[in-house]
Amino acid sequence: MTAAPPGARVSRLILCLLVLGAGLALLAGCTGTAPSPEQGSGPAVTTPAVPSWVVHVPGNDRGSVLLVGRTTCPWCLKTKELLGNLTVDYYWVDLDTLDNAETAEVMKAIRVCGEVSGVPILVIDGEQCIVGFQEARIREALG
Amino acid sequence: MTGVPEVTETEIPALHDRLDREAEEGGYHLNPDEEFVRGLVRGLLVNTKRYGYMSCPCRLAAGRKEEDLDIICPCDYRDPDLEEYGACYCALYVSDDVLAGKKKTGSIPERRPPPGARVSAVTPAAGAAAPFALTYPVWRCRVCGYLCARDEPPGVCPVCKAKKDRFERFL
Repeated sequence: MTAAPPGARVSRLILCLLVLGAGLALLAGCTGTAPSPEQGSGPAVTTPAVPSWVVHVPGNDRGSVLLVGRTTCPWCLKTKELLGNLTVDYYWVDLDTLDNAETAEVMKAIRVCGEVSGVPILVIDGEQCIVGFQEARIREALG
Repeated sequence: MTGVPEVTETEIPALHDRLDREAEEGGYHLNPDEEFVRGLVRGLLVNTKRYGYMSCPCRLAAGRKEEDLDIICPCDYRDPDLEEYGACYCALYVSDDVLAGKKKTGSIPERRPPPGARVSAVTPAAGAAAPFALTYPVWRCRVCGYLCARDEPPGVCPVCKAKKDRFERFL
């Protein structure tokens, strides 16, 4: 999977911010570094700050990847291990550590998945949703 | 953010041993992957301390018992999942074939219906009309299907150990 060109990523960022209007929109498919004015490759974009309760795991850019899990679920740990082995840059959040307002933000960010009741939930580029530790699908999408 | 309740090293084997004993007594089996099961048992303990009941470690709990009754371990979906996939949703329980190494299992699809489609766990099932007069009402364990005819459901299901509130009026 190749990274989106800067122009497309900025457009996606703006679109997602307009739609969701929340910090987590950044994680639901809108992550990416906006080009700086010095680079002269696009307009300056103020990237919303990632909430402190969201963990960023640096790695290789495979698009925007958000992992929603629970601290109580070993499948979530397996998913994190797999993403680590694939050296994917991703964000993760454990729903059971959040307060109601934070949880509501995450639920907005995973609306693309429909009505889900299990974890782990992986949202890729704000469009593709993988629920459960589906190793083959995750490798296909991010490997 | 909220904290995660602490679980001590002695609590995990204690609950694991109880679940293992109860599972074997009822004809069920815990997953033989001990490290994985240890993680699940820890999750069950955290959920017990957090909510007051053993909500499934891998499902999104509402934190309100009446809404989470169907996902209190063992959940309402364990037996059909064991039958179809060889494991329950979180894979705490596995089938004979998985235990014997004849079948592999992994993450399985969610069987729990979306909120609007769930059978109310609070209101007893309407129950089918009995074709004859019953001396006692018939109660059904929503987890394992055990039936009994008595004035009230038992405190604990003798087969799967589900609590009284997991029973529904069947007839």
